[in-house]
Amino acid sequence: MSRLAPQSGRSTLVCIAWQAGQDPGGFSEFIDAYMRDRFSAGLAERVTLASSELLDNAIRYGSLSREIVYSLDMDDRHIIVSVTNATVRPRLEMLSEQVRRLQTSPERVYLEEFERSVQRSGRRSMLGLARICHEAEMHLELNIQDALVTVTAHHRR
Amino acid sequence: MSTLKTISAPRVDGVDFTITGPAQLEVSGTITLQDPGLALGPFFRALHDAAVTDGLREVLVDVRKLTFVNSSAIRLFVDWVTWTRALGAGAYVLRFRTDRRITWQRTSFAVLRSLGGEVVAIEAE
Repeated sequence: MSRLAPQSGRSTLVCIAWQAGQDPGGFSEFIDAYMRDRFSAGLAERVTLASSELLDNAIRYGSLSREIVYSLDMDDRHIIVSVTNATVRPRLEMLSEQVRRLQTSPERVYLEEFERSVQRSGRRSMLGLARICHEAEMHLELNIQDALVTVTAHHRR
Repeated sequence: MSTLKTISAPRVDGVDFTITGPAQLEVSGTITLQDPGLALGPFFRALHDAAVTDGLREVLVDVRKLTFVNSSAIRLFVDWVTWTRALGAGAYVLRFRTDRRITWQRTSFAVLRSLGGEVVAIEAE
């Protein structure tokens, strides 16, 4: 892992990059402890959930060609979790569609995804993004530049 | 003789499972493994099979100290509910004791309750 320089214009609390495909074991626990030391349990829960799910998606579905970059930022009004990784076109299209649906109706999509997970075979629930929007009450945004995608979850403080 | 009490809990970083009685399980910690189904799925299945073998009418699962799970771990609970529902008339009740202050428990178990019908009960404290 390597520490990156903070972005300008907002306060960066944590910014870490690591090799795609490498399991960041214990990272969610680190973020949870970091947040609970400084903020309310409720805010810690939100940030831990978003961090865990966004990283999990990046590791699981991202391309190995570029490193994964995680950052936790804060400004006067928002707390922001973002993860950047390289990915492939079909995944980008699927991701864009899912985020668009979640921006419109997070609770309905959460319930639909939960229901689908009961019928879906395999060990994945596919609930990650829906949990960020519905459980953590965070807003998702996508930023796509070439094959790099940044998924941002933010919550108004 | 309780079959359920003889099941060995898996050793997985971050989470502890304690079988506290012939029909009671306590889970504490966090589940953040990338593929919890691999490490924990067989344990959950063994609990289900034991509940059936023991002819239990209800299994109490205390998750109040399970502070965080990733979405892959939610699948463990979804599967358990699905197996129980599949028993039909002979199904036992899965009673989850939850902490209403923990957001993931409040939201996830409410949906599990609605999907599970009569085989899922929630005790929110």
